[in-house]
Amino acid sequence: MLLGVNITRKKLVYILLIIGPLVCVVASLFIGRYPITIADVTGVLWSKLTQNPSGIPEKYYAIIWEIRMPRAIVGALVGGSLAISGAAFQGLFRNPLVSSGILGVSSGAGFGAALAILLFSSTSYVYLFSFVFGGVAVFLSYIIGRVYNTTLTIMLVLGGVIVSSIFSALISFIKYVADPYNQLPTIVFWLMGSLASLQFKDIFIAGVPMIVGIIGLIALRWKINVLSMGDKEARTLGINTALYKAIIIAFATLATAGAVCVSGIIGWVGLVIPHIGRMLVGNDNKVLIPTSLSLGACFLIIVDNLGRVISGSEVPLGILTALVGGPFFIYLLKTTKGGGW
Amino acid sequence: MRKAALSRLFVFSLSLLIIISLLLTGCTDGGKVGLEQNKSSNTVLVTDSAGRTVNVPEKVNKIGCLYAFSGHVVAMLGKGPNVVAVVEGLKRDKLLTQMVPTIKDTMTPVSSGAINIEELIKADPDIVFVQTDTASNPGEVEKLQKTGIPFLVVAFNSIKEQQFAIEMIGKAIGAEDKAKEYIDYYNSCIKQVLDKADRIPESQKLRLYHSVNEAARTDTRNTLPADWIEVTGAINVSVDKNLKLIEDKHFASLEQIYLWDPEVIMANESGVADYILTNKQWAGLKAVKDRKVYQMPNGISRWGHPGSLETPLAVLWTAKTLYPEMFTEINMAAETKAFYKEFFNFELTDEDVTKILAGKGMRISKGSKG
Repeated sequence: MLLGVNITRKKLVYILLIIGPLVCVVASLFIGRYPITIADVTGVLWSKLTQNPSGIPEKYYAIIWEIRMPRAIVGALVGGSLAISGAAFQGLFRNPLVSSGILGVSSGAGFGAALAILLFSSTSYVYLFSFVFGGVAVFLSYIIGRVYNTTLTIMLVLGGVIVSSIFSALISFIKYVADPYNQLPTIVFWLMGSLASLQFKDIFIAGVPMIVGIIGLIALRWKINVLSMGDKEARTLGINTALYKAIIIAFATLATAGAVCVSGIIGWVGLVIPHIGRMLVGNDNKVLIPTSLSLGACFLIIVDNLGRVISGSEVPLGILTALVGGPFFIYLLKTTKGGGW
Repeated sequence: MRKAALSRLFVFSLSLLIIISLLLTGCTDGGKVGLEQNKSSNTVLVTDSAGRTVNVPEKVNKIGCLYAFSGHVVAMLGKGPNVVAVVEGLKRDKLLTQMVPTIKDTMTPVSSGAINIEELIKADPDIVFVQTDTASNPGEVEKLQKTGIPFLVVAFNSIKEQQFAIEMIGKAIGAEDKAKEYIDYYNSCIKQVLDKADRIPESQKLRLYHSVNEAARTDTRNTLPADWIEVTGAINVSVDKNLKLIEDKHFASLEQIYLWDPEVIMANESGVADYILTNKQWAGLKAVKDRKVYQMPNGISRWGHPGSLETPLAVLWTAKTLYPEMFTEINMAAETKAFYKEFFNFELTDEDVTKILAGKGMRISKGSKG
């Protein structure tokens, strides 16, 4: 009897998780500074679907299809990537207080992007470098966290804080030495990145690392479950812990690096969203990982739309996510008392 | 009992100490030294753009230009070879370094807006021109004051203020006559355009979007471009609108630009016009559909840029581009050649003129654009 209820509820959650981001993407096509009636938006979408020109001004096509659509899709990908990698890191390190931002991955990736521009004066190696330095950042945070084994949870956060601030300092340093006419504007553009000027071609370039990272993490979500039980338990189950940890970290870093490269460093999404997911579906990474993906996607699209609507001169994403995320982190510290789950 | 009272006294006196020390620090701030020393006895009083009155040596031999615009003006006033310290940007300017090759060998005592004071002292200028950013930063001002080198603030947000700044630089380096010549030319260009542009009825004025360096960066009220574009008989669509401010630069969102739907777009950075013309996101705009997206010329600076010396040329070029049938008498190629000959004593080849007017290749372009 109870089982029957549970199954339908579970199905409902899954359906919502799939539909949610789609609804958010479609809804954000209706929101913007340029007033387009609901009928016209549906008209544009309908004629796109049916490949049938419907006499709607070309302007509307450009606004809805070329401006709002890519922004919504990349927003979903960025939010999903940050949230899913946050969930993966939390499961992997068995630590509710970590995320790409906290572990320094975002700053590391940002530094990598800036360094690539500085060294090559072009943006061709941006993704490679931001991936590599994102990985270096997690590794360093982990090493620092191991200094005192007794309070690993807090030490890992502390290690991340140290690593992030070192990488932020390095970013500032690169900005300082960069040629202010050629390289600096490009670096600032990459680091500040907003979703405002995104195009479809950005989706194809930046989308690859994000999608690969997301797919990898979804495929490995069972392993995260096993790893989250602890190294010893995982080993008794015959899992090569070191190898799987490395692979999962690599996928999570890849997703984060892709997100950072397209939208700059957006904090807190990766920390907050997995916890909200846990409140909804519980601790099982099998369910939690896809839930985080979906929630993250919805969250960032909603925040981005809020930023567009609140004031005429778009509020940067990072500000809004930090205003939500900061207090939430304090709440987490209090409820978890700085320990594990 | 006694112990508690004692510790309370201790805490009280400590708090008092903190408060007193804070108050004292507050006081010292008021007594700032604001004096510039002068090296020679013969000095001239010059009022700079910030309204400060500064004692400047009568004979200025070595000039520091820590604002690109001041370097352009000094070069125009024939004192280019006297420049001993510049900002990095001046060295990248192909045309300027061709005119004044010595600029390449000068020092750059400033990086990311911060002055390296020992480098500046090593360059040993008699006078330094700085921009508002420097002058409004107390740390930088203090550094400059320590050197005892008189510094003048160069800043402008309108045609009038730009002319004042040029006059001021002329006075400071002893080239007032040449500065006046330039300002006369400046005013004659404005008059030439305004005479006709003023007669255009409001309803027939073209609505212009001015892209500054980046496609979505544009003009706001109280900037030089807002002022000079008004002269050309265009309606600058972004002025008085709610723009996004990032590090003192104003940006429009694409949807805003769609709302304005300008009839003409002018971009001052090489490549941006092509970007706008080929980018699908901009494709629905009237100006793009009518192919009325223009690359503005680029000589010593990007014409019409907020800090450009070539504003009078920008006025002529824009008027001619917007209303060609009305301004048939303007010949931009001849005007350009004459301008650099007259004010920079530099003979441009026909190829140079074409390059300048096409706005390409005069400045090392920025990296890729989003």
